[in-house]
Amino acid sequence: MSDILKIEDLVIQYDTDSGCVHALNGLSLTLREGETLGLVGETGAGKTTLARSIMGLIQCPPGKIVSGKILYRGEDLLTMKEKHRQSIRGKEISMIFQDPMTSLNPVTTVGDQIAEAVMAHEKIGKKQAWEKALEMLETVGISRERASDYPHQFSGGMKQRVIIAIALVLNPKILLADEPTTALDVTIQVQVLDTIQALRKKLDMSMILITHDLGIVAQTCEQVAIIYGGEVVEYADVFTIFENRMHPYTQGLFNSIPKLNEDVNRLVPIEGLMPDPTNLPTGCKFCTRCQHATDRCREEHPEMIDVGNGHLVRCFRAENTNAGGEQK
Amino acid sequence: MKKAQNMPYQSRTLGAEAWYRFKKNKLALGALAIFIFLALMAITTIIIDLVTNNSFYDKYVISQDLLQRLQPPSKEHVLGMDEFGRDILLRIIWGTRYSLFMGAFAVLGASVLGGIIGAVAGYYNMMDTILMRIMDVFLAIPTTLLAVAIVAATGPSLVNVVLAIAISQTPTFARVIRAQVLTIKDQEFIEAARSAGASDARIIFRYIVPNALSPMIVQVTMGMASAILSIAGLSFIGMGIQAPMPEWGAMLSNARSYIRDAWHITVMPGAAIMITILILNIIGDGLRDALDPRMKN
Amino acid sequence: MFRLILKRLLLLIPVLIGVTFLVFAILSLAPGDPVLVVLGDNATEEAAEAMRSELGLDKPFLERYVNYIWDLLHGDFGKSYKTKLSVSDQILSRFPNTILLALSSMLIALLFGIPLGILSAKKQYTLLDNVASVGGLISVSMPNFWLGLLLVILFALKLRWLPSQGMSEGTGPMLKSLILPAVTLGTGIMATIMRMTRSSVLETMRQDYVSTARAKGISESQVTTGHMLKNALIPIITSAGLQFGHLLGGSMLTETVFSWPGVGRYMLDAIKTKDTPAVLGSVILMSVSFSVVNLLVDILYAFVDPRIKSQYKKHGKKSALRAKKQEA
Repeated sequence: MSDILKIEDLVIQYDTDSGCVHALNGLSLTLREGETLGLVGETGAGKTTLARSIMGLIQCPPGKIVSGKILYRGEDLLTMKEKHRQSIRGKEISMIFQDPMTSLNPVTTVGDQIAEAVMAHEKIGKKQAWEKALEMLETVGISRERASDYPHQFSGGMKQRVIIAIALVLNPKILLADEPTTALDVTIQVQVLDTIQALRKKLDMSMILITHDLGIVAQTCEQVAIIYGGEVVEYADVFTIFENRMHPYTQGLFNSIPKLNEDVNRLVPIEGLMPDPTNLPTGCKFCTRCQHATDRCREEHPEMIDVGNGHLVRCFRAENTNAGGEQK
Repeated sequence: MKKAQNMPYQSRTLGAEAWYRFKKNKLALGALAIFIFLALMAITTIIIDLVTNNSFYDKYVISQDLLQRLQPPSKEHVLGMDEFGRDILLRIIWGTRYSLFMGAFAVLGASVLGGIIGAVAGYYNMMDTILMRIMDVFLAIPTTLLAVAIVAATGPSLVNVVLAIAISQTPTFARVIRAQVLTIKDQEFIEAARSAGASDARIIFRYIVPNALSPMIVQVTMGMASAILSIAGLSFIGMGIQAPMPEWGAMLSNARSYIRDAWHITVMPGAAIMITILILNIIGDGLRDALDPRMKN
Repeated sequence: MFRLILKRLLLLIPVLIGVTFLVFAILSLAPGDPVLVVLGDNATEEAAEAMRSELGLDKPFLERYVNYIWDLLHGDFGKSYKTKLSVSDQILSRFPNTILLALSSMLIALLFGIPLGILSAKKQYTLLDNVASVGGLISVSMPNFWLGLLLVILFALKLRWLPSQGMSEGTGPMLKSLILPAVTLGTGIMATIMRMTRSSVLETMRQDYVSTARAKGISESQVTTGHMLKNALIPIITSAGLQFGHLLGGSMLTETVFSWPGVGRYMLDAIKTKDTPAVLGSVILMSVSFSVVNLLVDILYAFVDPRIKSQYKKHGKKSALRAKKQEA
């Protein structure tokens, strides 16, 4: 499988009244063709910023892309001409947003909103664009009669389906799904997720799924990147993450969710809060909350360590591990 | 980041917090300083008139010197002389009182009257329909037109102008307060107070009024700006303060006849009106941003 | 849609009855005897008495009001005390001039106010935005009769480009003589609309659906007009509608400054001669126009915002207004 999207050392900051927010701090990531990559982390870890930067939706100012590259099929999205980038946005790379209640334009029919995406990239008339939109609506499970309805006439789950239809109507190569089910009821979550999964397979897309729900990750993802303080702290395939996670933060994440097969009285939360993004620690970003932290962790910034089989960990404790990842 | 800055916020009262935010807005702060200066100036002229028993006023503000008429601005007379050879700067300074104090009284009247109507309408459902229908009728008449009609009926005098402007602004205040009361009324802390046995009066004055205060304050500032505009407008068409009193609108009205010969006597009084209104608008904008940070862009 | 308009028209009736009653009451219950004004102070008692019964002033107030309304419904505004001419003819011959002035001012205000507001919002905190904001604040604060005088000094007296007074004959000269009054009346409204547009667009700019629109890869101008402006339109329409009242009120002053032969100036002349029927007729006509404009604005909402339209369909006006309020 070839790399379809490669992010290298991406640094993004926001200038705010209370100082410079370091949203992404040298984040690197690779998405392979046809693969689903789960992006897991707490609120404020920089997941949404990452997705928006791939789409080119970072508002500048206050946002600022300081350095780094986002390579799509080898081309850097950050340096290419706006016109070219616009032709990729929505056509090659699409995004599904977090909150379906606010992500649709309230004064335009859903059919128009889908057709607009078609007409932005294909030189076809309004009628054909609408026909495509209607087909897409049916694909996501909404009857075509409802195309001339307005968003306020739909339920939350239906709205999210419309948003999926907008994102997928042009068969994009990459889909960025930013917590697509967080705002929905649990029963609807499964349906929407199934729809996304089915379409992903049918259209043969690569997908980055942003979530903080490890259950969803287990169900849908092949690769997982754990993000903390604007950088990837652990990266591995989904089995390794579930069976052989090594970073203390990843371990903390797993300890804080209930397990069916173990009898525990009390969940173990990760102590403390995310560090202030205007004033991150110089060493390991996690050192303020890590029970294994040493002086070295506080002063020196750990590099990614390959512990074998493409399992990468950003922790000094992994230095001693043999390639192959036997440690438990 | 937020901890260090936000903690002291919570211990501040609403007013102190608003003032803290207002202070950061240098433009609004400057405007407030100028406004206070204007008010002090107006008071000073009134004191001078009282102490000198109007002799200063009669000699310099009213009495004519036809030799000096329509003189352009010069070193001795910074803004020049008017059509009767009176110093325009002095007349503008003496005219501040009309705009400021009449405007203030008009807005005071409108806010008390409108405040009561709005609060009653918002709080008692049965009164709402009646009172707001009546207000709708008032609102259906353009504000300036209503004021003109009232003055036309009662005759131009200081009191009548103030009354006319107060009445014409009352519906606006009533609407603002009613909307505010309606939103506050349904909130849970009111429910809590009521279940604790608080009387209607207590709920209105202890809970609703303080919470409705922010939009009221903003409306007072904006209302004052528009009252000053109305006073000047009424005087300009001869339905407000009459010459030779140095009211800015009346000065403009007289200046019109000399527009071909001496443009400065037209420019100066109008500039005074504009600057005063501008100051109030800046203060109003600043207050709105400070009192309701959500509104700020 | 038709039912909505009908409903609003019916609701207009009590308001108009209220308006006529209020204005009638203000002007007839005022101190001072109109008969003495007409005949002069040294008129004989008999002559005054005869005049009173001729004008119907000896009847009780309510009866006079009912008679007045009855005549009004037949298109009769009564006769001028001073000139004995029909007030209806006098007013209606001037009314088109006032409407012409009002509409051209509104056109100027919308034509410049909305684009400037959008530009200002999109380039927030730039020099352009600051200049526009300061300019807007100054324009809002300028008494329009003073602005009119300044324009006369500059364009009529100094540069001699445009006439300073009156309404010229013939289309070309007429339009030329319309420029100064219309600019005078339109400037303040333009500034208000610009400020409203700016804050309204800034508000919609932050909405999630704008991100969705951008993510489709449509051009920035399409995002601005199709998504931001379309949603920002409601507060803009509201403020434009309210400004129309200021327009009618302000036209009185502007018409005086420019000797424009409109209803406002006619009314002022009537006030000076205590010609009550003429004043009454003018105020009523302007108030009715204002109410009709407000009605049009309300109907316009339904076209702009589908949420209000469907509210109307379901529950009638009240809940529609409530929904509008909640949106705001």
